[in-house]
Order: sequence, then structure tokens, then C-alpha cells
Amino acid sequence: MRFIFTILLLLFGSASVAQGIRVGSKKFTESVVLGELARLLAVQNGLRAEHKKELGGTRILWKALHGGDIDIYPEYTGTIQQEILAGKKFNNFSEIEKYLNSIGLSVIVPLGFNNTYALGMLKSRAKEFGITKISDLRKHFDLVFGFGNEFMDRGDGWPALRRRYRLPQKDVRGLDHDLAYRGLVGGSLDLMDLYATDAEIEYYDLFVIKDNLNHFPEYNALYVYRTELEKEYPEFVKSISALRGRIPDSKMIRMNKRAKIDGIPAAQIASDFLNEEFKISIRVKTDSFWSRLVKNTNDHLLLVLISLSAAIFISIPLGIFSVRHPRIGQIVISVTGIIQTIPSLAILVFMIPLLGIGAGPALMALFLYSLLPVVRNTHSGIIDIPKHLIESADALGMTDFEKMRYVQVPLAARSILSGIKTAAVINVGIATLGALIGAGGYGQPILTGIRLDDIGLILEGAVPAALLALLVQGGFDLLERIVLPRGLRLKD
Amino acid sequence: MIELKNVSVSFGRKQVLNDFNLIFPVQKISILIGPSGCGKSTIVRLVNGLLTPDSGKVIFDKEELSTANVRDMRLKMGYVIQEGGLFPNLTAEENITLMASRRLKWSKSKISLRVEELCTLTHFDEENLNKYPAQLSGGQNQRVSLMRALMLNPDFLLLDEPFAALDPIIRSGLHVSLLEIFQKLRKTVIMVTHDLHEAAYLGDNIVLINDGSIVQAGSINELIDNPSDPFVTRFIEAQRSHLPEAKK
Repeated sequence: MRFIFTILLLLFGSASVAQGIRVGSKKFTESVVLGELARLLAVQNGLRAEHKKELGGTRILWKALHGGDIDIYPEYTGTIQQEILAGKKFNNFSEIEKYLNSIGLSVIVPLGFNNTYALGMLKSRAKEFGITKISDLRKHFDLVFGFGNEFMDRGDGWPALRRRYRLPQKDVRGLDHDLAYRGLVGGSLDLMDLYATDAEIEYYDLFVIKDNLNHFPEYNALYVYRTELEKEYPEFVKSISALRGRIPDSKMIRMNKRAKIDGIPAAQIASDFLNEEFKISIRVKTDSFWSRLVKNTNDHLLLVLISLSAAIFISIPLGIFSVRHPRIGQIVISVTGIIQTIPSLAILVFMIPLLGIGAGPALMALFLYSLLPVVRNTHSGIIDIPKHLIESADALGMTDFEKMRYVQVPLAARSILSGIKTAAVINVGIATLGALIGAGGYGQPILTGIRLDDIGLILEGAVPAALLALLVQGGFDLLERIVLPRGLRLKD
Repeated sequence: MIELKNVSVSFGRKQVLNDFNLIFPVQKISILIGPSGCGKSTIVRLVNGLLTPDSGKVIFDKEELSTANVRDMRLKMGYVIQEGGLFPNLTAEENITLMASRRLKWSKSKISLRVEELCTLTHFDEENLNKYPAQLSGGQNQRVSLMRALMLNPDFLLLDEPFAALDPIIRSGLHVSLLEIFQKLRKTVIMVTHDLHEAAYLGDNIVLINDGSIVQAGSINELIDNPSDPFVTRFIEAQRSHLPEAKK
């Protein structure tokens, strides 16, 4: 296992350590725009800059910053207090800042706007029920709530809100923040959590319910970065520090609107902002459809091919081993089965402390998922060989190795191949989640598409992923004809 | 000579052989015959080591069969089973020559010479050597199986109901070939069958087994003329043809 880790690290660990500034962002538009701002300022300083955007959540970004996989990302005071450092007692933000400094991190705070949480409903709906403040919700226990996944379990999120206001609602769903808007407008949700600077509030003419008990803390935007940057790239830290206090609510809401409602690329919005505020002009180039497709295909194929090859390399011997040592073999098969039941996102997150973000953890997760089908099919393929053939091999005087080489593996080939095929098709699908931890691939346009409510972008990832799955399937059917011993194909 | 000395075997609770003794004489064709489940196949499987006795010994010319020498001993034993046991992923020729080429590293010319010889001996059409078992008939496959067993020119030949799955016409053709081969090669042969005609046609020494013990051993004539036990007569009578007298 350690050996594979090392190989994957060598292959991908090194590739992800690029020179220059590595910016991260969360998978909602505001974060991506702020990430682009940081990237463009690095570019403007003549530095190489990479923006790992739309990473899967606060924890992933925080671990990545801690592990040195990214240098800087946009965050909020409330999130640091309520989620990242939840459980630690601080009286004010300067104490938090001191604590962050002690673990090698610094902040640029505040950027200006306060993107606090709020609860929102369609105006018509709120009027119908006579709801103006959160306390009013107590009387309407059958309302359907839809909250962003992070809101469901953060320190100031739904559980605390419910306790504070003693809310009775049972039908509460966790879902993607951008999808929640669609649920609200479509009528399947009555109420959702809002970010104060969401452009949708104005666009859909939503009613913001008054937080009459002042439950939600302030969410002042900030950048958090590794303090070492001050030594490595002082000029970059200087220029990004100039953003302090320069982005008030109105400007952030406008930038969000341009991205989400007008469909302008985040890079363009960031560049326009820098031009207006600082007279800095940076040409942004947008990738063409084809260059995006090539890059995503390349990332996706690498993820699938490398993880699958490693899995084949390990699983076939493991399957053979399981046949020879049935007791340990049963354990091996059970363990690979248990791995299969771990949700893919969880595996991705588990791998971050070990392998950082990017392709490394994605490869490891895909590798682990590929084990079961190949191990199990190798094992069952060999076990199912008719007994008289194994006895014939024994009676000829074959050694165990000869028996494996000339009889068992060739006769199990069909089963082994179909195990590999299953693993490959599953891999193509799961690899789309790799984008959540910065591994790229077809998941990237899907994430952006969901974020921007852009069906075209979603299809840009979904269609090639589906085609690739079909291609893999077809490829293996073809391979079966080439690899499978001719004598075995004659039967059908 | 192959000797089973005080051999006992049981499968779970069922005792198949109990303190069993039997000698297979050199260069003779010994036939093990008896009703299903009498233990005749067990004896052959003991001889080639597919089964290990719970107690007792299997001895080849003074050398005792053990886990240490079983693989080498098997190279001196040809083995043919009912289903043929040919590997479906290999051609007829690959099946025949696998051990010679891969283990013993025989030269190509030595191998092809030997295969040619075997084809003549078993009346197998050389053109079929490149075919896979699935492309050959049951009778052809048993000839291939026989060639595979004879390839390394073993001292001993073990056949476990080799023709049971074949139809009568093909079977009788193979009987003729087999007798010819036995007479030519003069090997120590052990063959299991439940067919008395086959036993009478091929065997020098017929060993009738019932319930794990030898009822009588001898030539077919001895079994018919001097049955040692009423079971011998019953077994023989049961297999006599029931065709009407006139048509015999």
C-alpha cells in the first residue's frame, strides 16, 4: 500500500507543486470571483499563478492551506469562528488573528462586505403566511426547508438556529446552495439559507426574513494566506492587501450578479473590478470550448488510466492470493468491499491529509474503488473453473505457478476482464468528483455549470463523461476479442 | 509395480477404503471394476496423488509416494479422465506438449517427432492438432487426452472411465486403438471402468471391487468359471446382453 502511495505521490504530488501563487476557492461564485482577483494580482506582479477553483468545501480548503497545497483563499470571519475553529473560545476577531498567526497563517481583513447568512422566501409565500421575522416560522411547522450542505452542520447553522428559535420544522433537506434557488423558485422548497451578497436575492425578488434574535454572526470577507508568502512574494502580499476595505456589499452583489445572472466569466469580472478600482488593466484570455475539452479530457483520462492500471497491477495478484489462502482471501475481499461502501467524497477528503489536494487523492480514491471488482472477479473466475480441469493440471505434475500461468488465469480471463471493465466504467463516473478536490476532469465544467445554472456547461462535462464510459465499455469488448484465448471464444 | 499397502481413506464419516492392499503388476493391464461408489476411482486418485490416504502407503517400485516426490512421480504417470480434462484455452497440440515444452524444455524437433509418433499410434489426424477442444468431437478429444498422457513416455498409465461419456460406436473404435497401444507399449496400466465388456476386452487382470474391498481378482475366465462369491456371478449376469437369443 505504502508503495502505491509513493508512486502516486511521485507521479502527481510533484506535478501539483507549481512555482508561484496557488489560489484556492470554494464552489460558489463569490469565492471564485475573489479567487480570480487574487490570481490576477499575482499575474500582474509577474508571478506564475494557478487557481484551484470550486474545491468541495471549507474543510478541503482549510486542509489544503494547512498542508501547503494552496497559498491563499477567500474566507469569512464567521466561518473561521463558527466552523473552522468551532469549539475554541475567542472573545473577538483579533484574538483569532493572533491564533492564526501562531499556526503560520495571516489574514487580510476586512475586504468590506459582510456576507452573512440569512433565511429567505419568495415574497408571495412570505406574505401568504404572514412571515416577517424568523420567530414567525414557529407557527408554520409544515414548511419545507432546503439548506446548503455546509449550513446543515456548521456551528451557527441549522441545528443552532433551530435551538435558538425553537423551530419545529421536520422536512429539512441538505442540498447544493445554487440548486436550492431552483428549488425555491420552482416551488419544491418554501425557505432556504441565503448569503447576503447573493445576486439572486434581487433577481428573484426574495424576501429576507429578519433575524430578530441576532443569531447569525458577521461574515466579513477576508483572504487567509500562509504567512511565508510575505517572505517569498512580498510584492504580491502588498498588492492584495490593497483590497482591504475596497469591496463593499454593493460592489460584491454587482459582481455576483454579473457572474450568475449575466453569465460573464469570473476572470473578466475580476479584471474589470481591478481596472475600475486600481486602474490596473490585465488582459484575461478565456479558454475556447475546444481547449477546455482537451484539458478536461486529458485530466480525466489520466485519472482513470493511472488509477485503473495500478488497481489491475495489485488486484489480480490479490485475487490469486485470495484463492490460495481462502481465509485471508475472505478478509481481503471483505475489506475491498467495505472500501466500496465508503462514499466517494468521504474517501477524497480522507486522502487530503495524506496526499494534499489535486490528482493525488483522486487517484488514490479511484484506485481503491477499482480494487473490489477486479479482486472479486479474479477470485470467482478462478474458483469457478471446473474441478476436473484443475485436477488434470495437478495430474500432469504442474507446479502451482504453472497451474496459475497456463490454466487458472487464462480460464478466468473472461471474468477478470469483465471485472476490469466494471472498474473502468465506475472510475469514469467517480472521476467527475475529482474536480471537488482540484483534480480537474469532466467534473470541472459540471461544477461550474451547476454554480452558474448553465446547462451548456453541465453538458460540456456530462456528455464527454458519458461518451467516455461508452468508449471504455466498447474498448473492453474489443479487447476481450483480442486478449481472450481463442479456444474460449469458440463456445459462443 | 504399484502397491497399495494397508491404505485407509474416508470422506467425512464414510469409510471408502479400510486397510486396503493391492498390487498392480508391471506391464500388465489391470482393470478396476465394480458398481458406482465401490471405491475404484478412489484407488486411481490415490495412485497419482490427487488423494492422500489417511493411513497406509502407495509404493512405486519401492519408492513411497509423498508430497515431496508427487510432482516428479506424476511426470512418470499418464492420466486420462472421463471428461478428458483438456484445457479449453489451448489447442490439441498445446495440450499434448505443454509439459514437454514448458517444464522439460524439449527441443522443437524432438517435440514434433514425438507428436507425429503419437498421432500415428492413436490414429489422430495431424491436421486437427491446431484445433481447440471445442472444435473436436468427444472421441477425438479422448485421443488427444491419451496422447497428452503418453507424451512423456511414462512408465504408468492411469485411465479413469475414459470412455464413459462417449457413444458406443466411437467407444468401440477407441477400444481397438487402446488395445493396440497397450500391446505395443507394454506399460503398467490401471484402468477404471464399470463396463464388463470393456474390462474383458482390454484387461489382463480384472479386479472386482465392492464396498471398498476386493471381491475377486483374475482373468475374465476365472471370474466367470470360478466365482469366489455369489456377487461375482450377479455382477457378471447383470451385464450380459439382454438381446433375444435369436439375434445374438
